[in-house]
Amino acid sequence: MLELTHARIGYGPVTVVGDLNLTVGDGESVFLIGPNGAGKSTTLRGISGLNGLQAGTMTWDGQDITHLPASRRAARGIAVVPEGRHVFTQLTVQENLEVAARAVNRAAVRERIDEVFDLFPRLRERQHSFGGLLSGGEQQMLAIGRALAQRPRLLIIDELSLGLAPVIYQHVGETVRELAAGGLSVLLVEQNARLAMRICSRGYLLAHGEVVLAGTVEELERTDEMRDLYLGGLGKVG
Amino acid sequence: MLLLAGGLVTGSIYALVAAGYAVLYTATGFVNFALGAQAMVAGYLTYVWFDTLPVMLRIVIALAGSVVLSVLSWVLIYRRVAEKDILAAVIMSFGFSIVLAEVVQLAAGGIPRPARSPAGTEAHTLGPLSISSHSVTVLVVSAILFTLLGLALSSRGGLAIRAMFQDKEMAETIGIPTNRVTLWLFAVSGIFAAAAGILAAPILSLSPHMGTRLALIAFVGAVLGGLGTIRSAIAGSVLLGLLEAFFAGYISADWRATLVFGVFIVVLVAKPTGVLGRVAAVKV
Repeated sequence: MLELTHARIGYGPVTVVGDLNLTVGDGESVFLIGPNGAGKSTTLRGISGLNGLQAGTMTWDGQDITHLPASRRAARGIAVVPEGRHVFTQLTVQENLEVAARAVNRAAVRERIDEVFDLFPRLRERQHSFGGLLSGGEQQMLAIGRALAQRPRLLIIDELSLGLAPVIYQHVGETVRELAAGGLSVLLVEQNARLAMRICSRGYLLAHGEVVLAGTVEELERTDEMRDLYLGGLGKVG
Repeated sequence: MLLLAGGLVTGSIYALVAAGYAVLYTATGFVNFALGAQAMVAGYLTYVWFDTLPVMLRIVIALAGSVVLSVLSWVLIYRRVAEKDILAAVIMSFGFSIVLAEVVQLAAGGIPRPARSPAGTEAHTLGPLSISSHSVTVLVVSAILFTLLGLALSSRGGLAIRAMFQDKEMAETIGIPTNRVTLWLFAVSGIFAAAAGILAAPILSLSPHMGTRLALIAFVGAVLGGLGTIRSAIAGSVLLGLLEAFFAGYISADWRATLVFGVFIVVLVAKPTGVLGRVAAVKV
């Protein structure tokens, strides 16, 4: 469904990700993991269209979207939960969902918002609160809900667990896992390898802007790199 | 009472330009100093260059002219620079306003032109208050424009613009075509600038350099209130108009420009985010 081929991504003249080949299949859930500065967020910015590709191509359902502006990618079904969540702090919860729902399609806005409320009842309770007044966990629910209100085919999440208490990210992670199990494609950037591996079926390990390992969760679990760097001290983390 | 009315009238004119600043600043982080010059051009379009046409038509030409100047200057001059260095674009807008003033001076001469208000100049007496038709028009028209702007922003469609004001990248990511919305906002700022020029010309004198003064005073007003929100920029400008009127009435009319820029310095030193507002989060 999504395919990046020899993608080079960066900021202005600076290249962060050198030569990336990455695919996310229909209904597949994939994670990206790697140390700080590996280029995970930059990769996501390239996919969402906020940063143009310096080289290479990107296709979506076989169509070339390399030069499609970010705002047109949402309508094609790519929704993003950015690092730091970026909820609209001065819009209410309900307005945050509505603006995203309407931006891609004017039809059935109310139903899509209700679907999000059914998924995260906490958001329904707080629907008239401003986004900026929510707790970190609620903001993450809102950021995910905002993406889901667009009825995307691919949900991209940058740092699901960052800054959240374990009980909160376990809960939110479980919701995302259920969505993925229900057929939604997910591309997850996550520091917490255990969480990423529970949600996703396949992953990439990025370092210095390059893919150093790729494979299914089972394959990755057996590699020394993953064991040493991310799963070390089995049973203690996550 | 007279000072109050006079202050409200000039304050409203400043506020029209300030609203134009704030609409653009909240969306792009760009301060378009050429709005004052656009107001001046609208004044010439209304009162000087098409004086054989019916007045309503001249006003339409002036509004359209200012919208075109606004949008084209962004697309052709500022946009590319603003992406790299917003401050450079701001300075370019200063330069562009000087160019506009010089072009008008070449075309129409430097002497101030009389501008007769389409609303007429007869005075109305309301109790202790005596106010001209033109002043009433200024207050009514600016009140209508501010209300329309407020309604537009609080509407369903305005939700997307408010989202963009808060976080442009996120708005783009959820599918709001921020570049196209920005063009609309430049058009809106053009209408506000033109309205300011058309309304200001009968009060101030219509001259090629009137725009520079208007641009600066409205900027001070906007900063006084807080450039980061449209409401506070408008309120700050009205406040500045009132301050100016009372200062001129009770202390000294000659020193009022000094007052305006004195206020500017005090605000920048004491509370750079404005008395009422805060600066929009601008990522450069």
